[in-house]
Amino acid sequence: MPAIRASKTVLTLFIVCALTAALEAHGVSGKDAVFLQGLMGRAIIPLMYLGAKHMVTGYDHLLFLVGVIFFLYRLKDVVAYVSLFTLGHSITLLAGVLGGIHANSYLIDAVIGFSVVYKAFENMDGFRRFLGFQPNTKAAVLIFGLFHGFGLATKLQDFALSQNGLVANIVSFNIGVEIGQGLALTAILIGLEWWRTHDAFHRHAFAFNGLVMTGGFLLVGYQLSGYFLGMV
Amino acid sequence: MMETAAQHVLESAPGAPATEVRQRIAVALGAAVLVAGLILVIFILPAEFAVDPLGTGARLGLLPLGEVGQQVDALNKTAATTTGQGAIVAAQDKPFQQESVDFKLAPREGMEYKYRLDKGEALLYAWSASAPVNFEFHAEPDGAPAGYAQTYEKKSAQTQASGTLTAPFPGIHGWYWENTTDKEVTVTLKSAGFYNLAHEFRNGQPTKNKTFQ
Repeated sequence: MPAIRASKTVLTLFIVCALTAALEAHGVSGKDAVFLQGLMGRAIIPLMYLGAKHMVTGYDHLLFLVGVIFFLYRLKDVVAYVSLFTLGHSITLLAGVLGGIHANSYLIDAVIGFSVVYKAFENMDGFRRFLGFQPNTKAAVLIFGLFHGFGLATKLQDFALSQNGLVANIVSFNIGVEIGQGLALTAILIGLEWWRTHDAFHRHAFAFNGLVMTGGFLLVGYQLSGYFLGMV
Repeated sequence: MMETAAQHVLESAPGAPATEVRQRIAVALGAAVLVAGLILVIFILPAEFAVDPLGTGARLGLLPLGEVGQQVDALNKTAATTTGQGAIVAAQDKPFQQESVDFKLAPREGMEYKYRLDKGEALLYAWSASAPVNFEFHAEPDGAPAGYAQTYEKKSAQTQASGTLTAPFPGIHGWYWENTTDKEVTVTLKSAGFYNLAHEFRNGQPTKNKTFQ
């Protein structure tokens, strides 16, 4: 029986990986970009939709969220950590676009990839084991949330967004991001809850975080390659 | 209820010695870097950036993916920076014309053939000569003093030339050909455009006007 459970888990992981691989890699996709650039004035619902879509299909954000809630068993904790993440990325999304703060999206995305590595290392209890102490986990989520929001901001700024209705549009996009995050979190939590009912969870938790960490390193490498190999 | 951050991390093998746990984490960290690095170098660099340090991209057929991607990116970048300059489309109401004409140049004779073009009107042309001739591709702007001309291209001993012209000003635009040999030379001109009038000059004098319907 354990063998069947384990193979089930592996199969689930495989399907999840295959799905995420099909998702878009970097920023807002082509057709949506054309829409954004042609936009004049307010478009509340479309921007909300795009925000939600970006979150649900953005595997860098999803990997980080998986890492964040991986060992959170109580809803109270999930809400607390996710609220900090939301606070962080909302601040920089709004400030970045409205304040016109521009950063290289490859470098920001490399930091986002690093946030995944960091969270996986934390989940492995690496900090206590190697440094002898645990850096504040809530502060880490907040700080990395700032980078995730900055990443969203730089992608929106790549398009010459009309000043007309900009505030309403950005706020709508932000709300959409939270809706998408809620949807993604629900799916992740259901999956985790199901997994936790199996013995395999404890046996595979370490290896899974190793996989998450690998994904994080992959994101870092991919984004740094993009930065150094042109296409900027 | 006391809650520490440590509760939210893995309590793996609580009884295991600290060094063993550290070793396990270090191995996982190293493996993650190694696997990520290998995937990056073997698959992602060739497929996304057309960079193929190990030759795996070529062997797996991933390299063309990256090369096409790079080309498309470069084209998109060019299109983005040259919008409004790159492609010039000028719609025309006048009827489309094309002709192929032969001119006989007697020994040591020079002649001109010019089309009337308005500013911005385009002409597509190709001419060839049965023997090398000197030529000057030029135009006389409307209202310019007699004998005044602006040269587009001037060359000696050529048997052909072709190209496109978008008239920079209204006037007559065309060629002077000079036969420097002791034998008759035939120049064949093919052109297409929206012209409705052409002039032929021999010895500096207009000898023939041709209208197009």
